[in-house]
Amino acid sequence: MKLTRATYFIIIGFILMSVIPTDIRGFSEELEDQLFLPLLILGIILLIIGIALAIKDKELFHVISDERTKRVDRSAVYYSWWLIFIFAYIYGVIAHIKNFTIFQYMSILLTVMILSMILFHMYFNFKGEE
Amino acid sequence: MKTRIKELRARYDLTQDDLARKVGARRETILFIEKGKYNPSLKLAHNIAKALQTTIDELFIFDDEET
Repeated sequence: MKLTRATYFIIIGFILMSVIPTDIRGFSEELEDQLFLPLLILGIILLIIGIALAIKDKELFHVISDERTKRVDRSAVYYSWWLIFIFAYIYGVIAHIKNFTIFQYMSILLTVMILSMILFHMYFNFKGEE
Repeated sequence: MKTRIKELRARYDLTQDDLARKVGARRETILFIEKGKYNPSLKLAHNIAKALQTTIDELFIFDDEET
């Protein structure tokens, strides 16, 4: 996994355009119809920003990784795994009570999985160590 | 921990990007090291010192040395 400030924008853009609408559709098709266009526009804007940053950083095709980024990767995976572990359990109980379908359960779980990984990565990347 | 990376970079007219490329690291990593927000491995510290034509001792100032 080679995440940079450019790929943060690109991945979040893709999530907004493809994953989030699918999640919303699982619960309400009407709401998905209303939110599809704003999410698409926001996603495209983030994609453009991400590509512009990748070009600026000269990392469009080749991303440099070093010891710090590898450490950030490991920390993000570790904390994300634990968050998902706890979330899957709590959300599983809620899904059982509310009678969610397996699609509703899995789509949200997968979205949280990807988002938590990116957010933890951003946090550890910008935080540094004191 | 404080470093003299910025001062030595200026002496050799190197940008963070130039130094990062010389030592095979990311520019952000050099930035974090300069700010004292990341402690590099011995290997990276050695590479940076070599790129700036100095020694690790000269490059990094540890807190107990300041007093």
